[in-house]
Amino acid sequence: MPQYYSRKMTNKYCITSFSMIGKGKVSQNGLMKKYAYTGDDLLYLKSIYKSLGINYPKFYKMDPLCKLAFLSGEFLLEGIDLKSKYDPSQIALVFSNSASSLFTDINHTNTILDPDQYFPKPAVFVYTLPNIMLGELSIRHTLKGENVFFVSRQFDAGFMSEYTHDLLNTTRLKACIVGWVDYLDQGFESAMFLIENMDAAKCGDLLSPENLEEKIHTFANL
Amino acid sequence: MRKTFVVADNVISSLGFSTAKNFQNLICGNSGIKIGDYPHLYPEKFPASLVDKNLLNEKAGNLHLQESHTIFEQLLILSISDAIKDLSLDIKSPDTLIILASTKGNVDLLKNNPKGFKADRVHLWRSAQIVGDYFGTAQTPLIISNACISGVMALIAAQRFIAQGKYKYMIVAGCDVLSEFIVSGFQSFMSLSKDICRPFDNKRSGLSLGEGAATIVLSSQEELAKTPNLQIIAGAGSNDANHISGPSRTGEGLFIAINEVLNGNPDVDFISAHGTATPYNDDMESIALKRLGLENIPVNSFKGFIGHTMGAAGIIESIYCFETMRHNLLIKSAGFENPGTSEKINVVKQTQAGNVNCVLKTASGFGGSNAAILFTKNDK
Amino acid sequence: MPIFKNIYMEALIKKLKTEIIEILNLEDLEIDDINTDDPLFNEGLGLDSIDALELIVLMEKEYGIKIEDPAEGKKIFHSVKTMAEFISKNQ
Repeated sequence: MPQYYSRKMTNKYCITSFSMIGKGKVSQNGLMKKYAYTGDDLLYLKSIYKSLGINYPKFYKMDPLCKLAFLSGEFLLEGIDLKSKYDPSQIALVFSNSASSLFTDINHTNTILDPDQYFPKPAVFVYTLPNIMLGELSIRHTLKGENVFFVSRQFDAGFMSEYTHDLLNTTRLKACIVGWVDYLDQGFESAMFLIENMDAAKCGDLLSPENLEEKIHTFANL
Repeated sequence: MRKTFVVADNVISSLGFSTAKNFQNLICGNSGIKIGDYPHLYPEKFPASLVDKNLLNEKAGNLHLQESHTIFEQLLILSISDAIKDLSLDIKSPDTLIILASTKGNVDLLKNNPKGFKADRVHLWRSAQIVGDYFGTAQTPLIISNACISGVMALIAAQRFIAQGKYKYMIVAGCDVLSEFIVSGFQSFMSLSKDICRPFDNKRSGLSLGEGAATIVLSSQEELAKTPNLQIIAGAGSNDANHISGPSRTGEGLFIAINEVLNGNPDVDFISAHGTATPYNDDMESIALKRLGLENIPVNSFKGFIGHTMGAAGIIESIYCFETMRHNLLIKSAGFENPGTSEKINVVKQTQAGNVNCVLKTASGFGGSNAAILFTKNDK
Repeated sequence: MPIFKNIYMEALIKKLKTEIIEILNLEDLEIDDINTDDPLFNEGLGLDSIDALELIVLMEKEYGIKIEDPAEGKKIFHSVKTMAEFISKNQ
């Protein structure tokens, strides 16, 4: 596990919103909502989508990983008008996960296993990259800033917070969504944080490895 | 902010196992894309740019990697080893960090695993561990997987770490290996050309796939830079926010990324574009370049020489840029004969001498991603 | 025999609509929501380039018809009607 982080971060950046999705539970800024999970991931994700009451048919074309990211984004940004505060090119996405797009990679592999039934599907193949979720979020929320997707065995709060801090501190980018969205047969989890420049005095939760980890642990233990 | 100098590099592709060998082929106009039968990749004949596997096997054998490592891992280890061989760099030191770039890593193991590797070998984080373990690094390498901009994004991240004084050395290595997984996917997109690809040409009909690995070593120590000294001075990424696979028709994201790196920096002498040779990509780039007033700057795509090497592309093609700067040579855009993009751009048709002091490298990828990076040369 | 041809076309159109809904993940749609003559792309269902490629796969997998050029696909997939006519001509 990468041990990279230092305490050279300033106190300029704030976690202004966060959302998490797990089996049977969703958290929006610490407030938990229960959703019935009966073992069928796709049905579960669909039920969350339906409960949001939005009309976004593209949702159904997404693979489970992107559906998870999309929904997490809906909870993260509900009621937040990023457009009024920032130019789209100023909003970054810094994401990571452990499985990359493995679930859909396996689906694509299955379409080419049998030489007599060799029908690779473009609608499946397009999702065999983990950063497609960044594309889906960008389209949905009009985010045109810098994207980066890391793969690591576990969520590295130290690295992700320092990378984001430095990004906001040294480039044109003014806000950032930090995310960990992972989907596998054995389980799935999603955590997203909206990071904005804010006076430390006004900020409830500064961007720090400790704060990111604390929120994730609280949710995991609910 | 510290400056970021290029200290060493290596390319492994269809054009050879060293930067010098690759560039020699570029100068001679030799493309590494060959139409052939590659049954392990696709049931019909098609053009591909492949690394010489016999030579790879021999070189991997010298490092005892043949049985214990996948081709993907062998390529990365060989490339990094070659890049650092003449440096007095302690790769085990905590002041050195490796960043890897790849789109699909060991994905071929899902279908073909003759050496019987464990299931977790397919994961990119595992590949990072394997590479880190081989070199005994203090920290597990980072790994970026961001479609075809992975290589450029890794370079941008590395440049920033050096600028911020976090590390003394950054070793950036990108690699992707062609597999049935990848070829079948692009075939389903009908985006592969039946002939060798022709970026920017009016007869272009799609991309040619390639594979390879490349490594760039960066440092803040100017005394380590070769002559002429080359620096990475700016980098930026963006998203089109338009479509998950098709590029923006207005070149939106690319415009944003390039605009950002040009800001306050020297004039560009040469642009190494993404140039995949699909009808839409090349058009999109021409539109973005025109919007930026760069339509007269000599531009090429290296993909007519080595195909689209995906995660390795940003690194390989950046090294080719370094070579153009070292030799003051504008390399032609292989496969280009007649303009075929909606905006007219200045595609290099013949390799020629030129003052190459500032080079812009761009990349675009699935997911609406775009990235741009700027290199300058400063004669010591 | 025009009667049989009409019955055949109706059945084919119904089959196509079911397949389109399934393959393109148009989950909230029923067969009756798709008008046979309406454009499938741009307006209408607002399908995109990936959907067009999926329809090309459908043509080969289900109907044994290979479409080599995606541009050709644009005309064939204009509407469910044109798709059905294309299939009945080429099978």
